[in-house]
Amino acid sequence: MKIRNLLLAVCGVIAGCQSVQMEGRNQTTTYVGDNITVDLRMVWTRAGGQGDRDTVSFWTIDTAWARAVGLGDRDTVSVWTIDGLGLDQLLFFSGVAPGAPLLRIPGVAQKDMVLYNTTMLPDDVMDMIAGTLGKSGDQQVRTSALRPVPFGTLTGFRFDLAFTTEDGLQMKGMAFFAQRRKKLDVILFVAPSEYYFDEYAPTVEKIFSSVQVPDLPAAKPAA
Amino acid sequence: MRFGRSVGIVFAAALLWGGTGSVQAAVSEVLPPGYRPALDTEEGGLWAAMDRQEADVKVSPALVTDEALNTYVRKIICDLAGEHCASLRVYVVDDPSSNAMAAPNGMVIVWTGLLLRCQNEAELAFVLGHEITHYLKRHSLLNFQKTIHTAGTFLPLSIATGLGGLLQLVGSGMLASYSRDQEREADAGGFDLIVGKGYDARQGAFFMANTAEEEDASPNRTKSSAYLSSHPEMKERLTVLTKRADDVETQAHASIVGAEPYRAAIGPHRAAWLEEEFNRGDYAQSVAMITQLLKAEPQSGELHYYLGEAYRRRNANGDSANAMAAYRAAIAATGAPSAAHRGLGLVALKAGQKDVARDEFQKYLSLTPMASDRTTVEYYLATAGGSP
Repeated sequence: MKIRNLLLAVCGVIAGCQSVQMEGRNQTTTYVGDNITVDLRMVWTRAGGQGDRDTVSFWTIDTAWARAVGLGDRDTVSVWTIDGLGLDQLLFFSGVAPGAPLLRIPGVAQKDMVLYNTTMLPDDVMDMIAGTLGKSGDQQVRTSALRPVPFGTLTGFRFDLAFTTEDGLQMKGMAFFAQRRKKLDVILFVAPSEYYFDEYAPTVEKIFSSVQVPDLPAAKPAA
Repeated sequence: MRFGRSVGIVFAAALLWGGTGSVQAAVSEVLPPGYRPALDTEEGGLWAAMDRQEADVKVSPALVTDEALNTYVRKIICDLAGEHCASLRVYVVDDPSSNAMAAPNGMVIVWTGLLLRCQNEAELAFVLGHEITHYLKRHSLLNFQKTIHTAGTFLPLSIATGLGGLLQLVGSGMLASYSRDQEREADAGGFDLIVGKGYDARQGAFFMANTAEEEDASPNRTKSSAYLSSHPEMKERLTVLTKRADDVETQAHASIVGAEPYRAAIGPHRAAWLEEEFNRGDYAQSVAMITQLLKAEPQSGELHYYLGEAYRRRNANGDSANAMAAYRAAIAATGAPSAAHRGLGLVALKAGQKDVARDEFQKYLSLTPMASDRTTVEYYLATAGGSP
């Protein structure tokens, strides 16, 4: 994921960037929107996340300061990082509604994005996620190993991906998603293939396994 | 991979050394072979900046390193460039855009999206001849001088970082953007070069026509591609190229198209390039482009399969039937991947044709027992009421 595009995307959809209260620094069980909670297992810095009513916040933190660059209503993206946004990102896209893109990208009209719809099969969702990365400027986006996995008590899917950023950094990632109540929930982890991905992949695996959702039926593929 | 502001520093230094009035000797009509400008000139500064960009290009992970492909493209360029061959260095970059550029210092970048779209060697040779002409006529230098003398600086190149930054500049038209007269001159030069080497004179016009058709196919089209945005109106261009081809065909000459060697050269890469083409997310253009390729290769199972993929991913009205037809054509043709059965199964499942879906998923699993997505296809199969 192109970092500056993500920042602009989150900040670009809101009227103004506001300071927000830092939270979640040491907690492990965390609400990530759309009635989903996960166990973060280790201390992740919350670089952007939901507040009340699915708001989006976005800040970068080091030990000395916290700076909010975005906070808006009705958005569904939150971003977490351990070592900094340039090195690892755990993104939660929660409750993506029919007709909405996974992410608004500055300079890309919504009509040029793949929009979510409830008839999508898991393959279609995978293509949508990969296409969003491509639209954000990433290159050579490749997906593989789409397979069903538990998403809480429901059936979800996950796949692996690899891509190169516009700056030439080779990245790896894994995505985890489910369709339920006519909405799409996605957890996406991306990091440089050198060191960072392998370092945190086991932790992300545990986060995927820790997902808890209300016991509601998953959306079934159209057929 | 960054080099910060170093290019800007090189520019600033070059300008300081040269001063605003110290333009080097008047730009000649054509560069002499082996030419390299003195560093204390504007042209020297421009070359130095491009040399720094080229250093990044050389180590970019986006570079296609397949020696056979690079050798093939390099040979075409060398044949066209003749005594200038040693001054030109070609880099094939893994990027789905359809583009090529020749930098003022002799760096030639060829996008894989261009290689995907050319249908034969003669088409590629025309595009490369066009770019070689930009280089030989020093068009970049003329534009650079105009910008420097108007704005006092050339900021975009000073802040571009890495290959990505360079390609962004090209894509946005800020670099390798030429006047219409320069494009006309490059068209004429490219035409002369390919005719001089015995290539079919009409292939340049064919490439241009296909490019225009593909661009017109996009419902979201707002501007021409990087390759065409600064070029003269397509109608004028096609008219000129076609008339010149008519004139040439009245004379005895060779007429090399080179479809077979071209397909042999790009064949090992084409499936990957088609996958990357979909990352652009303009499925209407993808459909148009693959349909064009199919006219030249109607028996290609690979192309029929990817046409089905383009329709399936676009998912517009009628695309379900279009995708089914394309997948079926792929299966009936030669060289289709087993994924054609999978694709047909997906479309059938969404269309409620569970019998077809079951049959196709079972064929896919039978043909690809170790597929990495086997459990997902088994899930689809179960959804369609079947079992592996």
